[in-house]
Amino acid sequence: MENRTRFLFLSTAALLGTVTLLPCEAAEALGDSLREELLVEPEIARREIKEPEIDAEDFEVGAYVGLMNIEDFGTGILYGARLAYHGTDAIFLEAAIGTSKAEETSYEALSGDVQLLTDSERKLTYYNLSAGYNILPGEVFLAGKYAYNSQFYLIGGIGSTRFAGDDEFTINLGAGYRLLINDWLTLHLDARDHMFESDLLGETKTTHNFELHGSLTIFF
Amino acid sequence: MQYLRTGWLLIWLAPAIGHTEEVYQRVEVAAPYIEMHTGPGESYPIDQVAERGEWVEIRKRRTDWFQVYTRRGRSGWVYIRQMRRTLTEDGSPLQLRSYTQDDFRERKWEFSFYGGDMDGAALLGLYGGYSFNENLSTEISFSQALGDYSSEYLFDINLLSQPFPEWTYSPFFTLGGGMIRTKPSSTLVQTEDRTDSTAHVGVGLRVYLTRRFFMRGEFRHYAVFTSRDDNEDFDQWKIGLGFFF
Repeated sequence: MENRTRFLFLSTAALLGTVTLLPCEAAEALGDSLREELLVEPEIARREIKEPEIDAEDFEVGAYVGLMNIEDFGTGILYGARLAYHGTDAIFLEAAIGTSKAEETSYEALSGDVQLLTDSERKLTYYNLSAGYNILPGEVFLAGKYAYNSQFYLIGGIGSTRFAGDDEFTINLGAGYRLLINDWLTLHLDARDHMFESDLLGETKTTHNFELHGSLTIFF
Repeated sequence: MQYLRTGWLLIWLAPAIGHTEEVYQRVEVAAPYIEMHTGPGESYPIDQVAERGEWVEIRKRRTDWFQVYTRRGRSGWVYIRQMRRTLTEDGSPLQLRSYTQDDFRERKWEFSFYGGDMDGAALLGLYGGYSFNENLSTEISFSQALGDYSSEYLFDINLLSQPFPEWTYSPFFTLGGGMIRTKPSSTLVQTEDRTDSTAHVGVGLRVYLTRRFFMRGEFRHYAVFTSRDDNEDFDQWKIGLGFFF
């Protein structure tokens, strides 16, 4: 009887013990692993100053078409391309290349078959590097509903013109008007005087060659 | 007329075509308010403000101006100084770079165009440069000299040493070589085009202006190795305006 009671008592105790101890052990094991985890050096990320990715659009590229008056040689259609870098909201640098074709001089037209230049020499090609300044920023309103930003700018620079088989140092001066259709598309109207020395008709003189063009550009 | 109409239609449609689903940076205004101009420049009027606590989306940057959209879909251009008074999603101030003289010292790339004089002929050209470090860089340049009797094309590669990059007016020394192509004027009795190799030494000054702009003046002495009996040499002066990255 005593044995039986002891057996019962012990077995119950053992059972209770296992039941109560098991989770205890488990808890202990969990605590250990937790502690171990906590002992791992926390990784403190070094805060680096990172500039967010914002699409910067300081370049402008486009093509133009217009008219160019070549002194003594009439007016021809002009085609060109431009690439500009906007450094501040007012100042920009521009590289441009253009080509046009000279007509006949009045003398050639009147005298019949006299030709001063060959066909290939009549082609005029120029390139220039200019700096521009936006002086009059503004806004244009259309139909009472739409508003477009605009800029009036002055521009001037240096370049080279190939005409009648010669390359001439050329100074260009002018002004333009930029109409921003949206955030990245722009319409230009540009007037420019290209000045270079020419000795084609005998004596050396400074020729003024006026250009008027319209262009479509995009900012990127 | 048909083409004109199509052209106009294209211009109106362009914003729709250009629009793609993009995730833009969102920031919360921390200043009492930020001013939104109608265009990217000081002279454009302020037509609205975004108040403290308001979230705005940054769409693009043009020079130091940022185009932001408010939650109500209104847009405007905010200057960099005010843009810095906004917080990103994790609560830290928005970090934005504007370009200073320190950036100029640490530049990697630079581009410039210049004009000048080469033995009485007008000179113009452009170059691109790459910096290995603050003191040493390399450059490639194309120039054209336009004289009364000929025009010359120059192609040069040079190394450039800048011993005092921290000075605002910083001197440099250069050494390089290249080619020169001479094309006689067509109104003269025809002589043939010729191409010779050249070497040059030079000295100059670089001046930081503002933002990404700098100015540069330079003197170079060239030696031309001709196939004729004697070699030629000439001097070149130039001044240019450039920008850097």
